[in-house]
Amino acid sequence: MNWRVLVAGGLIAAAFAAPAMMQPAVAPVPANAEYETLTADVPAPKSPAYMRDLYSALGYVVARDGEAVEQQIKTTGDFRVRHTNTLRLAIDRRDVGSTPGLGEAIDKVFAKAVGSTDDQAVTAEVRAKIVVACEALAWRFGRAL
Amino acid sequence: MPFDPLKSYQEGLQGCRADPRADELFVDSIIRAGGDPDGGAVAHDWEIADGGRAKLTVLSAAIMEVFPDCFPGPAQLTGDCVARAAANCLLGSLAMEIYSSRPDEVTGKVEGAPELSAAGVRNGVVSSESLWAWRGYDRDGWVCSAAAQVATEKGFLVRKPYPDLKIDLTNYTESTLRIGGSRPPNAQWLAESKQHTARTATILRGREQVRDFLHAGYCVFNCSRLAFERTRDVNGVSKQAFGQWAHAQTWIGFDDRPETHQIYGQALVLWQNSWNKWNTGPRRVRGTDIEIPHGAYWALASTIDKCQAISLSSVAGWPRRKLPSFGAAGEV
Repeated sequence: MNWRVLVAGGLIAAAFAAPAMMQPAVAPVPANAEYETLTADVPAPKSPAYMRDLYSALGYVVARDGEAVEQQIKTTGDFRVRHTNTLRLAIDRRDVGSTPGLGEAIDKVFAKAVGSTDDQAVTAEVRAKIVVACEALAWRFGRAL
Repeated sequence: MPFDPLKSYQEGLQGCRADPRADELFVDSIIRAGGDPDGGAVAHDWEIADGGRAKLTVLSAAIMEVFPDCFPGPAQLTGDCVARAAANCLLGSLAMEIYSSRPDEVTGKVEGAPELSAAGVRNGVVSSESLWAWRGYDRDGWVCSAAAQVATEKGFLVRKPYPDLKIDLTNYTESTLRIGGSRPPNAQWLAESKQHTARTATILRGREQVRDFLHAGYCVFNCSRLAFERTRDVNGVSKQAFGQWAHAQTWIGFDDRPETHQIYGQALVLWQNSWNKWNTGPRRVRGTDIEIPHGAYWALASTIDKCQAISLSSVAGWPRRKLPSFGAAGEV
C-alpha cells in the first residue's frame, strides 16, 4: 500500500478519535443504594461537577467542625445559615433558578437524612446525618456528569 | 376559712391590676437588655409569623411529656394569680426548650429537665413564690408586666429544697407564699434565681401573634377581667360567664383549624387556670386523642382581644423551633 494512503488514513482516523481521546476520563460513580434513596428526586444541575465538588467540600467542613474545640455548627439552624451563605458565595446569582426545583430538592435531602425539620442540637449523630446528606448530593451530582 | 379562688374572684378580688407605669418600666427593661417589646416585630424577625395559621397547637401535650402531671398545679391559696400565670408561662417555655433539645445560646449546652421530686413537678415545676416574693408589698394582687420584668431580671427558682437559702419550695403552701413581699429576697437568693431567667419577653397584640408564638413553642400569660363558665362543652370549650374576674391565666394552645372556624365561627385559644380542678366537662381535643389538662378550657380566640398578653422566652432570643428550610431553596 502506498505510504501516503496509510498516513492519510491514520490522520483521518485520529481526527475522528480526537474528541474521545481529548476528553478526560470520568471515573464511573459507583452505585450507592442509600444515596440513591436520599437523592432520587434531585434534578441534575447545570454544572454537576461544580456542585459535586461544592457538596463534597461542605460535607468535609461540617465533619471537621465536629472535631473543633469551639464548634460553629451547634444546631441545624446554624447549619442552615452556613449552607445558605455558602451557596450565596458559590453560586452566580444569575444562575439561581436555572434548574427549577433544585434548591427545594436539596433541602428535602437534608430533611430526609436528618429525619426532622426541627431546629435541634447538632449532636454527633445529627452531624453524621448532615455529612451523609452532603456526600449523597455530591454522589448524585457526580452521577450526572 | 380556706381560700376559694372562684368565689374570691367573683366577689371582686383584684388578682391582677392595670399599671401603665409598670408597663413602661417593663418595656424599658426589655429594650435595655437588647430585646424587642413589640411581639409583631419579633414574629417577623425570627420568622415566627404565620407559623400557626390553620394549625392545631396544643403545647400542654409536649409540656406534660417533659413534666408529667405538672398541670393543673395546686389551687391558689391567695390572690397571686399573676405569679402563678407567669410561672406557668415559664414552665411552658422551659419545657418546650427541653422537648425540642435546643442548646442554650449562652452555654451551648442542651438543657435537660431539672431533677425534681414528683411533688415538685405536681406543684408546677417553677416556683411561683420565687416571682411573687419580688412584688414589693405583702397584699394580694400584682401586675403582669411587673411579673414579666421579674422573670427576666431576677429569674426564678424551681420546686425543690434550697438548703443554703433555708427554704423548701417543693410544695406551694401558705408558708412559702409569705416569703418576700415587703422584704425582698436577699442577694444569695438572687444569685441562685438569676441562673434561671427568661432571657427576654415581648408584648403580644392580637390573636395571630398569640397563635404564632404558641406554635413556635412559647407560652403566653395574660391579665384580663374575663370570667368563664365552669363547664366545658363536648370539645372542651367554655363560654364567657356573667361578671368579671380581675385575673391572670396562661395560654397553652391554639386551634386555628378550618373546621374549628366552621363550628365556632373563629379560632379557639386554650386557657390554663391556676385553680386546680375547678371546672368540669370533656377534655378531649376534637379529632385527636389528646386531652387538655384539668383546670384548662378552650375559649373563643376573640377573648384574646380583651387581654394584656406577654410571652416569655427561656433562651437568648426567640429561636424558631422548626426550620423553614435547610438553606438551599431560592439559593441555587
